[in-house]
Amino acid sequence: MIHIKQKINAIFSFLMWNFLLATPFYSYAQSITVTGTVQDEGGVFLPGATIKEKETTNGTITDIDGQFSLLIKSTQSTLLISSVGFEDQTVELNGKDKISITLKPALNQLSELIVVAYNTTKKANLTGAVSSVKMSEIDGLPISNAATALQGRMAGVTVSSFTGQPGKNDPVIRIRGIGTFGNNAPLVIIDGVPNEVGALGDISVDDIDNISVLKDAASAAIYGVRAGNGVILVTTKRGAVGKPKIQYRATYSTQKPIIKPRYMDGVQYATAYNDFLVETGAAPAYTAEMIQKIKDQSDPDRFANVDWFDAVYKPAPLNMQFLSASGGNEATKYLVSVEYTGQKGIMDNTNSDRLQFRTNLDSKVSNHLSFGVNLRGLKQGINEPIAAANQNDDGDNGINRVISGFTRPTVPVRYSFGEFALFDGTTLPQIKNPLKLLYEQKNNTNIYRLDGKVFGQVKFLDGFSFTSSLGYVYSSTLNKTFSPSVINYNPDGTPVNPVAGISSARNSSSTFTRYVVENLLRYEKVFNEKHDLKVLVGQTAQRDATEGFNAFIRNLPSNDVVVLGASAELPAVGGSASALTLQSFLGRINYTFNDRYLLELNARTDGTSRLPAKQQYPIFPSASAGWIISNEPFFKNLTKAVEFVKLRASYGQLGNQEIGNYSFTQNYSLSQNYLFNDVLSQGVAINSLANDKIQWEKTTQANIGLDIELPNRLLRIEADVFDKNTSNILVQLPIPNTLGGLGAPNQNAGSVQNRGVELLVSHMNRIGKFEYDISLNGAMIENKITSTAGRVNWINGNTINEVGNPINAFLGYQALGLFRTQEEIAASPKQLGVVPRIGDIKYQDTNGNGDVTTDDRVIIGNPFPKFTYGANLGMRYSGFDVTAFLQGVSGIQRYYDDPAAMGGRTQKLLIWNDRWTTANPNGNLPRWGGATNNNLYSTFRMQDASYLRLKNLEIGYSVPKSVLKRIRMSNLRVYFNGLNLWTMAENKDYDVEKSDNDSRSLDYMNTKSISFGLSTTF
Amino acid sequence: MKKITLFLIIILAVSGCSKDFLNETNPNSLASDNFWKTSGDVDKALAGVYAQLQSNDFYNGNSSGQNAGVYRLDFISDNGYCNYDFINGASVARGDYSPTDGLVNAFWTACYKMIQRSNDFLENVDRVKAVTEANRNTMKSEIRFLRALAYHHLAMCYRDAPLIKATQTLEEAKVPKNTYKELSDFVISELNAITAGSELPVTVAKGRVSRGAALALLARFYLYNKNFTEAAATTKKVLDLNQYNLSTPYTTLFTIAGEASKDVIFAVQYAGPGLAAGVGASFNGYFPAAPQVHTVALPNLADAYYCTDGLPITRSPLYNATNKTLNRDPRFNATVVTTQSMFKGAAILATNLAPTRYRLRKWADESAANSTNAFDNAQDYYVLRYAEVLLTRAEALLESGSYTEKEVVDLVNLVRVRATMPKVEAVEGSNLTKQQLIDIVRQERRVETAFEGLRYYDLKRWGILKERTVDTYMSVDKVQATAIQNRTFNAARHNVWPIPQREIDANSALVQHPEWQ
Repeated sequence: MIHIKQKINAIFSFLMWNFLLATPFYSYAQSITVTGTVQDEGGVFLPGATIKEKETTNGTITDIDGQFSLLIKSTQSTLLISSVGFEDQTVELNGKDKISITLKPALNQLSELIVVAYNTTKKANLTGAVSSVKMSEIDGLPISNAATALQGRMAGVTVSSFTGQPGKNDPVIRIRGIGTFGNNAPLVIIDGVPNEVGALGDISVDDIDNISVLKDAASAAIYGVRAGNGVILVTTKRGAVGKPKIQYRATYSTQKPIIKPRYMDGVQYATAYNDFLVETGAAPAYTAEMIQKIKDQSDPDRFANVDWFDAVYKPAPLNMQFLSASGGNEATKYLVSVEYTGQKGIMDNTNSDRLQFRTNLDSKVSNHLSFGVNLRGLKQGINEPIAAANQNDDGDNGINRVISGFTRPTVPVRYSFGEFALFDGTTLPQIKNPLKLLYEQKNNTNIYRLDGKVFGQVKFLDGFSFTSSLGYVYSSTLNKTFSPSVINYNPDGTPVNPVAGISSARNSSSTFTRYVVENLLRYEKVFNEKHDLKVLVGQTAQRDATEGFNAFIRNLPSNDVVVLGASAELPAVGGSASALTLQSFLGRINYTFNDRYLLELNARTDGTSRLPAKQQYPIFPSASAGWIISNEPFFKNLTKAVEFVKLRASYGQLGNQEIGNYSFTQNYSLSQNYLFNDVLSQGVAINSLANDKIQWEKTTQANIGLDIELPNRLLRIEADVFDKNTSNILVQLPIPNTLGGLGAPNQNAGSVQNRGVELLVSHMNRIGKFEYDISLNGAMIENKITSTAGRVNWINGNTINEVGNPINAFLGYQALGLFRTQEEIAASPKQLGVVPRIGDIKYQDTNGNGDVTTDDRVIIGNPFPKFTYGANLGMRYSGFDVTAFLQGVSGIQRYYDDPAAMGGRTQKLLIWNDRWTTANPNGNLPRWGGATNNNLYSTFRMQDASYLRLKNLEIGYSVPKSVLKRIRMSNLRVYFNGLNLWTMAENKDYDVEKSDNDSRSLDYMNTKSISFGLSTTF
Repeated sequence: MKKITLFLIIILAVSGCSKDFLNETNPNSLASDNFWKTSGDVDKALAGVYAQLQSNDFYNGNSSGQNAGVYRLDFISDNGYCNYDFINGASVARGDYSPTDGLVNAFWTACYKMIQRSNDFLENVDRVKAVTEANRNTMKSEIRFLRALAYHHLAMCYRDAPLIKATQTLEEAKVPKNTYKELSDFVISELNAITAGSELPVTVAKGRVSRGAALALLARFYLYNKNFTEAAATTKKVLDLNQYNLSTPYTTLFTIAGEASKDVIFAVQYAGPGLAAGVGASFNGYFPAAPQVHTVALPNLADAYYCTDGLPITRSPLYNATNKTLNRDPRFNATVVTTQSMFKGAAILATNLAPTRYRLRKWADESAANSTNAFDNAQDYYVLRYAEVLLTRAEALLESGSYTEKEVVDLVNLVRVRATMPKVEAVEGSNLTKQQLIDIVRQERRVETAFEGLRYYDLKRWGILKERTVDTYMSVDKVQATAIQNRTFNAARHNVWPIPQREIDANSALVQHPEWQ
């Protein structure tokens, strides 16, 4: 050990000597002490402000009480005082050795620090396209998922929330369109540790300081092979020098479904179904006497009148609590926090609760050495009986499907004797009772997570620093499902099945671990005040491993004893494991000349276990440049009117490796077992074909931007134009099944282009005590396939990938309204081999061959919005503040699969009263039943899914500081918040913000909520 | 300095990456580079080829899913009806299918999956010298049988298809189709090759391919190709093995106890329930109190069963129109259930018999305790039976022209007597014409082997596919049943399945049949 120490000592002394000779750093004769205080305009002393002697590296920071003392060359020196959030100030001492400085709050955002890849930079010096949001700006939003907070806030970042299910409400985030046929999820980096997009869902929103989104290639390229879909950087709060600060926030919300489908009630249902049966020549199902009983509710066990949507979806509370303590001195800064979120779901008996803590610690050992640690622990429980939100299954698994397709209003929720009901007084078939499923089935998930990072930094010589960190994520998920043994009942109390079915239980456990090692060497120095140079080189390595096992057992002794060991039968078990490694080297040079010309060069190279050896370490380069025109001498006279003008441009290449692990190696799959002599014989076989030639997907992006800022934030404009091209897309092209019906390998084929314009305009003004701000952002994106690698008719169900059109464009028939007359039918082409009847939908014979066939389908919709926008309006007056946030999308379509048919357990929307019948020959909807042609995927049910939503409306009141001082509080704000209160959209029965493959609108409903909260600081 | 040292140690400790850092191997499967080393590898690969027999699109057919499989080919004949539109093959039965049809694609894929696994085995097994050459040759013969079985199905359904005898790379996969003759010649030469010597044992472990199995398949395929002389000669070889008989009563044959019968020559093996390895049968699954709702029997088949006096229901005085289960050929009640039948010890509800009023008892494991068991059970599926060989022999002798009436009638009688039905001569008398004998053999073949995957091919080779599956269906079954769908037959194309469109899209060398262009 001594040996190593001596060596290091020797190296350091050698390097030190070299730099001591080369720099004048230590040659000052420092003799005079200047002391002083720094405060804000309200007289609050500012700790942590930097005081620097101009033209030297000599400086200090203020202590907890805003005091400082600095040894300087002479009292004729000039001091530069800066503090985050305030305008820089220059003070000429002019012989004084005691000064008091008042800092003005920074109105422009040019000096605001923006988190970028592996660094922070002043907004003024950005050369790429980066959007960022300070969480303090959206304070008080009653959301448990940080990703939801980004919706509509950043131009070019499309956030779509498809479900309001507690614990499972991760929105889909797309940055600058859809670039690949495969995985389009961006990379999320939380405090320097790579994470999946889902990690945004469980981090405490109050713990986040800011979120930056790296949109262009130059900003993201340093993340190389995982940056193709954009990068989201999340930075959590840290302790600051100053008195201990205690922060507490509590929010209580009541959530409701965002929209309610208007289904027929009992009488309407019975009448409509009777009408339909009679139309088809059958006997009615409900007699007049029965309908009377539905009306007067004289026999609720047999003739109920249930609104199944209301029975399942109910107002539900959301309770969030956050407490943190932070503070520190020059040596040690700390932040500890604890968060609790308890959310009941709007769907009955679904809920989630989350408890987490965080510790962020920074320690400065000396001027040369500092280290720190971030640590977070989380426990989340999610309760959702049998995949309540599953939208794909038509069986018991999707509750919305059960409501719309397997219930009728005349069956009660429970019979009067307490059991869940399945029948009514008609002879119609047994329903599937959604509440019975929600209460009898069990499906609980518990997630335990510990993640964090330990890091250290050594500063050496002049301008060098070396940072090393180890990030770690451990998460364990335990899922338990149970299907009970139940007896079902008739309305008269007799059992339907005297012998209960067999119960079963499954427990599944999976663990995930990740470690990331990162070593970064930096050199940052300003030469001759004009040449600002920053150099970064680094190395990172990452390994992810997943392991899981599960066990399934049947025949438990009771519905109350659900542990696996309780059954006499043998369990069935399963298990699997998977790992991924990644090693990368990166480098960056930033050079700024005279605060006018900015240049940045990046390069990264990655190796991954997902690709064959010969495809490792491609280089992803990028470059960006900026010109701050307003700093040019010729602009001097204009800066009073236009404070800041910057032109930026960037170009670079990114990668995408989002294919499964191990996909390039040929393997024999297990579990191809067989029986010889009735004894199980383990078997293996090749089940999928490997392609050992696969390489990365490549995304090349060019970006040009312009930033303009008027003094006092009167107007701020940020505009970007981009052209993003993804090629070599990893896609499983179909292979002939004569190869053995093998799974197709990934091949590099096809390319996609996303072009767009992004604009942010904001304005702020103050009229006396009244202050307001308006901020508008919008993005227009054109998504276009530029090559399908020769693949034609690339149709997946009702979507098509075709050159010149967006990815997964909707493919369907062109509907021309309904057939109204027999003559019209006679004159019309054949309709898929069926002779239509009056009241049927008429489809267009696009190719004019006299017959409507599958070949007549055309592109009838776009799954991804062409235009996304947001508008934020804020007002403040004497302690009161009002914020309204509107968000919208347009140029997007959604399909509403609502068949023109009715059965004995099919809820129908009220709009079907306007269906075609002989009695209603002008009806706008097709007739029920008969030929299946009325349910084809067509423009008839394709709707514009544009919407404008009042995402958030908040009214707050901050108690005056003078009052608070007496109770030793520094801040107290109470607020009322309404989330998703108003929406303008075409469809009135379902939320238009739904997934493109959720044609039946089966996802768990989104929520709207009303909240009350308070936030206080001591 | 001490602190700096400590810090540097941390850095060194955490950044130590070995050379193999990027080299991750799949822990869930076996890498092909390291395979084919030990006898255990050979055993696993052998089981892996056999396992394809259990594929849902080959011999299993998931009753609650959309998969079809050989057993369900009967529902595109006059024996059965597909009760659900979403099941693969319903459209083939209706006659409105296209090259994108689910069954057309799935059955093709299932056959080529068996072929690919077989080719992979045949190419590699000789690398493992730890297994004796004799054992390797036996296994190779078994695998060649399985490959021939797949090609026999491809030839029967698709007529022309690529003949692939070796594994291919992605680049090699773009091959044109071969003719029916090339396919059938291959099947015949392969089956001849593996039965010429003694590599295939006569007695084998349950589930393995025996010499009898290869001969029985060869005889069947000779019959399909109208090579009646060879078919008769090959069946003789099966008889001469002296391995098989019909001593098991028909009523217990299609149960788990019946699997050990000397009637069974080759069967797809299943075990269950509850084994996680995916070896349970589901082709015969049913819901509680309702036998097989997806594939149901047609009245046409039910009415084909004679009464116990050996006379058809139209002529027999024993026929009871109000209780059709009475006085019938015992194979009636062993194959179908209808009103008045008992299933799982209880009477069947009329609603559980819609729409044809006949459901299948054959293959249903009535000992299964509940619905979960029913969809994951141990009932083997019999691919080749001795009764079929006897009837093949009878038909081949007749059609070849060189037969004696006694020889033919005796063969049919073996089958009839096992079913406790009267002998042919006792009902029909003697000195029967060739056509009368042919009708007797065809009738016997139908009632004996219903829902064993033979009927569709039989109707096809007899040239009466349209007459039986559509004309009879529309005039007999459609009338007797409630709300069953229409069937149509396009004589220009429906005698051969199209090449799946997916294949044509993925393989530019493959050309669609002229009928389907």
